[in-house]
Order: sequence, then structure tokens, then C-alpha cells
Amino acid sequence: MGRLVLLPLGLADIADASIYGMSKRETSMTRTDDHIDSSHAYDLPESVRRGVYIVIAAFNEESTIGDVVRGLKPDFPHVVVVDDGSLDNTWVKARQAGAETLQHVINRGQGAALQTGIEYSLRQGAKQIVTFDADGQHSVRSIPNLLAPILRGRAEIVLGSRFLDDSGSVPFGRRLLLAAAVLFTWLTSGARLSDTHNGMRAFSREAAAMLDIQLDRMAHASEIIDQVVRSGLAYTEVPVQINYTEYSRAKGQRAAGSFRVLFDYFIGRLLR
Amino acid sequence: MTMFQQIGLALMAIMMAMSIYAIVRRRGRLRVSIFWLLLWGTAAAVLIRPELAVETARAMGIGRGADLIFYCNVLLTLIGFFTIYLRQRRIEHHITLLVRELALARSSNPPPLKSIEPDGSGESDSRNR
Repeated sequence: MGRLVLLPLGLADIADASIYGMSKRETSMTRTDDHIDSSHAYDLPESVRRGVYIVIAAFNEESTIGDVVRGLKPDFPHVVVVDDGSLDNTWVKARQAGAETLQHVINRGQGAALQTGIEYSLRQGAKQIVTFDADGQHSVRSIPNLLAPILRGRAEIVLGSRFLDDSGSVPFGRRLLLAAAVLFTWLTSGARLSDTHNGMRAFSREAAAMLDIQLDRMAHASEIIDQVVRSGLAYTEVPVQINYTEYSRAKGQRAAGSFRVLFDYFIGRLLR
Repeated sequence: MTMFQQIGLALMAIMMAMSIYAIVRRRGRLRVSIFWLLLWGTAAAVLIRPELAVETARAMGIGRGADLIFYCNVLLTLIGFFTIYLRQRRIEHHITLLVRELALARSSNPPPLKSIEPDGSGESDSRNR
């Protein structure tokens, strides 16, 4: 895919109050042309950043969560960490780093933790919600790119993709697994996406309120896409950078785990 | 009538009476009660006339009546497992809803910070493991 037009997200664009009312509903997939140059990434005005809630589901991430939160806090005042029943000091580290923390007293899975964080953010008055991974593989610099289509009123849901830009850094095994997931998503939900299992997503308030993640564990990624497609809200993909580290790869999903995910997903659909 | 048939029929009669009682008194779900009534009725019929199983098996292309009963048994066991699995999922989901509500309720008044030591001691007050 060719590099698309780079449009810096201008202050005037965002300051325009009508931008939130521009959410034209489109049922079809809108191919992204909202990639903005990262040099303009922090042009987001303070008033916009205050309305953005970054939701992080964390399970036994004490070694990374503090840095992840500290990396986000200077730009986004609302960082919500949902400690999903960790057996280590994830919750303590997140709070010490300045995050708004919620705690699942027992482990319920990433899907469940994200839903908790989203519900909390909505109750706090979030205007946009971004989901972010706790293992340090996501970059704060990608967030403005992710928010741009929502702020411009072009989409209600924006999904991060590691394949739109430069997928060279994605390990081969992972790429294979993700390609299978892309095909699977196309077959089951009809959504033609380039990366279906990216933890980085942005939702407008309206879209987040529509979301109801029922699948507690890893099958939530496919479930979210199903709900997005069924909602009829406009969605799009934007490129995001994923930094694969030894740590994040060790924490990531194994191919063998895919069977469990598939089973959960199909049973979930059956019962819906 | 053999002793096996007598004991079996007595048991089936009790089970059928319980199912009928459940239907009449509207205990539990109607279709579940009807399913059990039909199952015990069929079992009673096969006990009275064992040839019934053989004839049905032949009609279905299965050699022996005992095989038919075995296959039915396996199928019913699998359905039973699946039903239990679905019930467990429902309970799991309810647990998630409770855990979420608890997390949201505590978000405004979080428990004091307390680190977890590597040996597992000094757990945060909010935990109850």
C-alpha cells in the first residue's frame, strides 16, 4: 500500500468544537488516509488530551508498567491501569507512576480488564478512549495518529495496525499467526483489516459505550471487531509502531493458544 | 420378567414419576422435564421389550442393540458435558461482572499501597487469597 497523504493534525482542526459532531456514520470500511507525521504528534491541545483516557490491562507487569505509565503521563493526564489480579506489584508500581488504578481481585483476563477500564473511563467522562499494552511494545507517539480520524470526525473506532506502514520488524512466526487471524476475521466478520490482533485501538465515547466485551480472555480481539462491524459505526486502521522486545514476545500469545482462543470465540458467538 | 427388568422398571417408574411431578408442578424448565420423561420412557420400553433396541439398531444400520444404546449413551454424555460447560461459562461471566463492580466501587477509595514481597507476604489489603 502506498504511503498516504500526511496531514498534520492542526490545532485549528481540533479546536473547532464542531469536530465532535461530525461523526458521519459509514458502514463500510474507510481506508486510512489519516496517518499524520509523528513530528506533529504532540500538537494535540491540552483540552483534547484531557478528554483522552488511556486504558491499560496489566497482569504481572511490574517490570514494565511503571515506565509505560511514566511514558504516557506527560502527554495524557488520564492513564487508567486495570491490574487484573496480578501476583506481583503491578498495582503498586502503576499507582506510584501516577496512573488511575483499578484492581480485579482475581484474574479475569485481558478482555475483562479492558472492559473494566473502559467502563471506568466512561464514568469519568472520557471523550476518547485508547487501549494500550502494558508490556512496553506500544509507543506513545502512535496515539495522536490513532486519535486523528476520531478527532476529525471520520471514524468512531480506530484500530492500530503494524502492517500498514512497515512490517519489517514483526517476527516471521508472529506475522504468519497474524495473517491467519486476518483471514479468520475476514471470514467471520467480513472486516478486511490488515491487523486484527493489535492491542492499540481508539474509540470515541459513543463507540466505547456501545462496546460490551463478553469474552474475558484473548478472544476479545475478534469480539471487538465483530461488535465494531455490527454497530455500523465508521472504523478505520492507522499504522502504529510495535517494539518487539524479548519481554513482550515472551508475554505474547503462542500459536498453540490460538486453538483456545478460537474455541472461546465460536462458543461466544454461539451463545450470543 | 427377569430380576434385572424388575429392578430397572421400578427405577424407571420412580424417575418418570419425578419428571411428571416436575411438569405438573412446573418445577424447572418444561422442555428439560419432557426430555427426561421421554428418556426414562424409552429406557422402560427397552427394558420391557429388549428386541426394540435390536430392531431400531438394525433399522438404523447398526448391528446390535447394545451398540445403539452405547452410542446413545456417549452422545448424551457429551451433551451433558457441554451443558455443564455452558453453565460454567455463565458463572464465570457473572464472576467477572462482580469483580468489575468491585474494582469500580473501590476506584474512588483504593486500599493503601503495600508491596508484595517475593515470598508472597505483605499482600495488599485488598486481596483475599
